[in-house]
Amino acid sequence: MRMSRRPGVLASAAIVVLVILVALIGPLIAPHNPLLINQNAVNQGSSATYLLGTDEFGRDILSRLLYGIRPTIAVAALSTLIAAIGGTALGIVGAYGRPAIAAFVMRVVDIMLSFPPILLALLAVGFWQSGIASLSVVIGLIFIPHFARVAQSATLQVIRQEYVEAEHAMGARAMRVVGRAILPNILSPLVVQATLTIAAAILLESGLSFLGLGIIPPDPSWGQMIGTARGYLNQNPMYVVWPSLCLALTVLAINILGDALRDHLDPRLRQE
Amino acid sequence: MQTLTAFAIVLGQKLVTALIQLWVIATLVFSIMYVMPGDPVLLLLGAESNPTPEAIATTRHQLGLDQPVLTQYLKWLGNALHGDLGTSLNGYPVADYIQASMPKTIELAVAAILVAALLGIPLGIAAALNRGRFLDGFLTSLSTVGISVPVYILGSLLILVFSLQLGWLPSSGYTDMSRNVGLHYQKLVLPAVTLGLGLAASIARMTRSSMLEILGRDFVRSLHARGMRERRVIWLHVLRNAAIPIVTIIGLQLGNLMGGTVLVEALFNWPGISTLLVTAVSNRNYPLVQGSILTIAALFIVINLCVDLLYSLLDPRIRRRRA
Amino acid sequence: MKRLLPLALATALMSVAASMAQAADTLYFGLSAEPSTLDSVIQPGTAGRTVKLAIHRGLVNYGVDGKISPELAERYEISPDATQITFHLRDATFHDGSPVTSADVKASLERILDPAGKASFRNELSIISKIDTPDAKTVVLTLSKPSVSLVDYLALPESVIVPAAWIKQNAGNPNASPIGAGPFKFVSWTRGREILVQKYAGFYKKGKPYLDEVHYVFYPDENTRVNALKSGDVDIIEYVPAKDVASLKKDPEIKVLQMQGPFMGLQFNTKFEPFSKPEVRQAIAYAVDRSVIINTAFNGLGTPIWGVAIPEGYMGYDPAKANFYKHDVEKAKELMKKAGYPDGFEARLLATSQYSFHQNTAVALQSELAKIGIKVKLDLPDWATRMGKAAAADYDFTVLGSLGEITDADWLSNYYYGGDKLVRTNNSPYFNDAKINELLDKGRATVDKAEREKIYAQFVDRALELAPLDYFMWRDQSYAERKNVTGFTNMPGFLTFQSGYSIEDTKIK
Repeated sequence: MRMSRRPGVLASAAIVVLVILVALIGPLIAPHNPLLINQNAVNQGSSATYLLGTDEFGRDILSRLLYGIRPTIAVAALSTLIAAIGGTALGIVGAYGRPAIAAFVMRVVDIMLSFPPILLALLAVGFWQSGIASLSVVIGLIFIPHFARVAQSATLQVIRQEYVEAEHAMGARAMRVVGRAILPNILSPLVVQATLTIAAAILLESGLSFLGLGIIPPDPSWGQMIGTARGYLNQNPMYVVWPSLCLALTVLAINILGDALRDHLDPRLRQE
Repeated sequence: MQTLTAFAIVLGQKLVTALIQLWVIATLVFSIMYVMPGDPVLLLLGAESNPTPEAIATTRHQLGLDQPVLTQYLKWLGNALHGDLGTSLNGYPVADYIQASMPKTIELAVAAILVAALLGIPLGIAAALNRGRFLDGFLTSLSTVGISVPVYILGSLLILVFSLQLGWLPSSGYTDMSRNVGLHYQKLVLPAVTLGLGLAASIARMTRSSMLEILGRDFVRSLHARGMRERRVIWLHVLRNAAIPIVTIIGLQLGNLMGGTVLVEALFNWPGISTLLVTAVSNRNYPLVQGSILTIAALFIVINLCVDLLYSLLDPRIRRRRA
Repeated sequence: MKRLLPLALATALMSVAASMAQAADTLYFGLSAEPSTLDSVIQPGTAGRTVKLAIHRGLVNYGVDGKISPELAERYEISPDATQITFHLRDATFHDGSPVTSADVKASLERILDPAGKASFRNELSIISKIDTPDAKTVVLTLSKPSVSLVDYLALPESVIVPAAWIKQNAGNPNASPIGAGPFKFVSWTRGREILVQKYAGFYKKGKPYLDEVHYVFYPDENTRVNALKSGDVDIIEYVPAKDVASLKKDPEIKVLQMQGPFMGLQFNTKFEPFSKPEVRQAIAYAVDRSVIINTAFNGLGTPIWGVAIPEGYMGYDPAKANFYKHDVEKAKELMKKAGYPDGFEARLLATSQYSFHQNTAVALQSELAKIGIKVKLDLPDWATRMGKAAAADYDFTVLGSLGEITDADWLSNYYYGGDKLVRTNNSPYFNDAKINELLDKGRATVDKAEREKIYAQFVDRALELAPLDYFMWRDQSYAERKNVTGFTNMPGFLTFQSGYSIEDTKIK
């Protein structure tokens, strides 16, 4: 079965492309300044001027959504990058390094994995004022062990293959083996893991923003908008619906794409 | 005999790992208060009213915050070993706070698991029995949605629909049993459903796939061939065999469930241990932060340990591989 | 169904039992926070004060009419030169049954005056130089300087009288059960949930209190607090969020007790160069459209302030000066130019993310100040960090949301006085004006009312001229209660935070 034929995959791909596009050009298409306060239009429903209504400051919700995507995507991308680099390195060491070091690394990874990410993030972010950079680092660090696990098991499979043994036989140095033989061959599961991590990072960032520990106001972010809207469920019920819809659709689309990608790239990893 | 020894070794390894995990987390948790900004003493003295430097020094001394870090660490660790989590900044035992909030979190988690099992298992069975048909596709897509939608979005939407639009259920809060039993359970419904739906989706998926696997096995086919009635086959044989993976997935998802309580408790203002933690973090109540994190971590580690052991007990293949 | 029946029966039985337990007059009071402490000498914020005012009484307290009400002292005399106050105690008893004597008063005041103690108002009370107890029912306070405002400071919930024996026994024990002479006795404090108090039958006001039990339940989240009132979990709540006032007013089961007491404004760190210039501080007072703050951060509930935040009827209030400023962006720009900042500057505004009205005020100010070229960077930590930063003057300017602690005009000292301690929670750091100091000192020591009026009129002129603080609005500080509650009063003006006093008059039907 070709991946594009699966139901929802095409739609998901379209959503993801759209989200990335909006993150890039959102400011150009936003009808209003997302920070512009209008004291005469507080908590309004949809209208011709404000397509999706206004928030508690009379700011345009649609414009805030279009801008609010950026910190979310930036944090997701940066933290996934950090997690991918750190985790892959650790994972390869855990599989290919000296046994004692490898065992130690994997034990540390196990310990880190044994704790809910949101709690770690809560602690780290709760005590410092957070911005895109600090959020990315914290979330990136939290997902390193997840990457390390995947990288380690993939590496373990690869190093038993003949071409790796061949490199060894030819007396290649460890770094060369890693670069030439291991990395290219563990790329597929890592790409799949990266899509999962992006979705998880979006959820974590928006969860923290929801708790009021993420992106600093007045700059918009989706999670923070949901958290704020929760206080206005009575006055302006649609306020909570729009950012929720955007966030849920984005995460759903990435997850569906990730599943499809996994089936496509690496049938061995297929669940069920 | 051999398997028993192997099991003992696994048990020992896991126990040691769990202890190391606990120690690492305890140390991390202790170090929190030295890297955190914000002065708890000021807060305690009511910074609104300009406490004198003398008063600040006295309080710092009373709280033992003026001792060397290592002394504080050893003392703290020793006390924690005895179950003494220290005193909250207002002078009351941290353990009191945890005792008051922990049962509420457990109640919420248990209710969520019930919701998840009651929803997930029947849906999974229905999907498996209708394999490939519309219902299957629909339920499978639904479970993907269930796994993807974050709890606080789900919860917000549930509040919007069932509380504000329909007015069926209270939107948030907690009523003590001793005051009003009916209200107590009414207020439990929305948070439990919110927390349980994600797990329900996982359970449905797992139920579906293990049912399908067992339905395809020879013995089921032969039961059918012998003319046993469909319903009887499913209840008596298929489900029983599918139970192990289902129970396992519940166990494995407990961690996610505990993580989810942070957001669900915040959304519904459920006065459990996550709420305690979030409040303590924002009040800079160091001892309370340490105590609640340590408790959550310990609970988490113990659950993982139990699930792991259960898993290796139930499934000999895994036991062998892990050993 | 068969299995459900016993469950339903048990549930029904338990609800009956629960309702029977409530047959006595029990009130549930939703507080906005769990108090950090019940130590009587510490100002713990409104939630803590509400509980303290159920348990304790002082020599005097502020009554529901806003005037000083004689409590443990049935009367008092101030010497003509305002350097001596004599209190005559009534026959009151503490919750342990022991009589309230002058020795208890002496011990309580000495505890406040202890330099190593934690008392929040030690500075204000340290003017007391001698405490004499000629007999068991008389206390004479001698002051080192004349002061008209001391009685007001003695009326605060932090100046209450506790037994001398209790102090001796519980010195240094922060979690001792409090004992006072108030209408209710402390029963228990369930961590993270509630504080329970019970009627004290020996209360010195005959027939009071009317309630048998009050549960002070903690609801730090404003949405939950409102929902708890709507669902009947609690009978009264404090800190009603502005956004919910309208919907609560529509609810036939609920009454909203509105009162404007606290003000919102700005404190300026005068070490930050642009804010050392009065023109810049005045420019901000002209630049900010008050209605933007009121309509966005307070849902339209508030009254603009265009001068110094002195409530109508308080000493120093003058309608002619109440509208000193107006919304005039051009004038603001002019002042900015005059100060040497025609293109504006960048500044850090400290507020807190923990209280939405603080954060929202900051957001509104950010957008208003952009109009005169001031680029505001928001610093929105949690409340504890915000207080820590304020205590260290670690800000350029900060959102002020507070009120006068006392109703005597001397409340202004806390906000404007310079002196030795130039960084305080409520002043503009490092602001120190000799003339203002002199006027405040003189005002505090002057007994003659007409004379005082003149002094504070001069003070207001000077305060407007230098504008060390800017004020924007009176905010609504509301309580809401269920229809069957009577007698609880949202006390007027600055006293709204001490409304907990009126629990002695509260009834429930």
